[in-house]
Amino acid sequence: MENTTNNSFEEQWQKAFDDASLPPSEAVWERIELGLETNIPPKSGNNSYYFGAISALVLGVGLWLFMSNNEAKKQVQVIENKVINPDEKIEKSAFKTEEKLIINPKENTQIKKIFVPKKEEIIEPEIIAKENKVRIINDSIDFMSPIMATKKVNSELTNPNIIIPIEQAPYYEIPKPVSKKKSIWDRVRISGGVGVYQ
Amino acid sequence: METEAQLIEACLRNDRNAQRKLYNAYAGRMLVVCMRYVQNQAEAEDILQEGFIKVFQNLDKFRAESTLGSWIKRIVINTAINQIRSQKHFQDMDDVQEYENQVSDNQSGIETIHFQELIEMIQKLPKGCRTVFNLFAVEGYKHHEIAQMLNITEGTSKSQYSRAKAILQGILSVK
Repeated sequence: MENTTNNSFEEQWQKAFDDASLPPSEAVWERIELGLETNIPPKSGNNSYYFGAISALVLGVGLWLFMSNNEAKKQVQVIENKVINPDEKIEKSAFKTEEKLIINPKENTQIKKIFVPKKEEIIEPEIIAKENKVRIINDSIDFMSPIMATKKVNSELTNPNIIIPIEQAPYYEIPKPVSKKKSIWDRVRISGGVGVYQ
Repeated sequence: METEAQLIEACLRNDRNAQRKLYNAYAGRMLVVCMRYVQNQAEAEDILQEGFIKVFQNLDKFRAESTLGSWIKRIVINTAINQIRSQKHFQDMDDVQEYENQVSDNQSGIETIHFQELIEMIQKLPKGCRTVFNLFAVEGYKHHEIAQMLNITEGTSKSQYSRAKAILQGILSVK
């Protein structure tokens, strides 16, 4: 009898909660959604997450290397392609040659010869500019261009005070001796003789 | 009309709409379950949230041996028990005889009381015996199963249930 009463007590409680329902707040679903987005466990046999992470890492490193190389190239190109305004004073051109000294030789091994004028050697730049603008421009271009360094820079300079012997410039290489071509007359041999006509 | 199997399949593909549908279908009933184990709605919603995340993460393990509703309910109850068990509310248990004598044989008459009032009554119980009462009286587990679930002795489960029953009958008799 006691057992029956007890069962009845529990059955009543079970029945009371059979179809009981209360709406949860909207925040619960939002938190569940967030939890599912952040805690999605990788399925066994599906290594796409790892491959994705590794490929992203490789791409990132590659991009970083590419960008760093490009930046180094740009630095050199900007200096090489500068257009010089003929109205500019010589101070500016001198300043540009100083910029060149900033270039790391490791980044651009092609630049072998750089002319480095000293500031104190530039005497009365304004007067020089008035006297011969065209030649000053040529000089400054010579300073800028690594190609022109192979030419005799000394001969192009207007002011002897800013001449620096090419041998003293950094990264100077002694030019290889060029073999002289023999003239065509050196190969001609004139020989004479006496013969008897029969 | 989408069947439950189709809904489960869509949930397994991480279809958020399907997951929302599944949640809407069971969240209300599961919230009531959670509220019986804790003292307020905020705590109940925390358990509900954790329980549903487990449901979606383990849905591939559902074998249809029981209904989806009872499978979800078991996960939610286990989540609640895990939280309660970590708080160690099953210490200092009383003797079984102490409360058995107080259990009345009278009908409680709870069928006339709204479930929300009944939840409030259950929430007034001490945490230890509230859990045992829910598992034994409402969920229908046996004392040896409860003992295993809560890592307590069978005697402790019985004493906790007797205590809970006595308290509730005391409240019901006043009403």
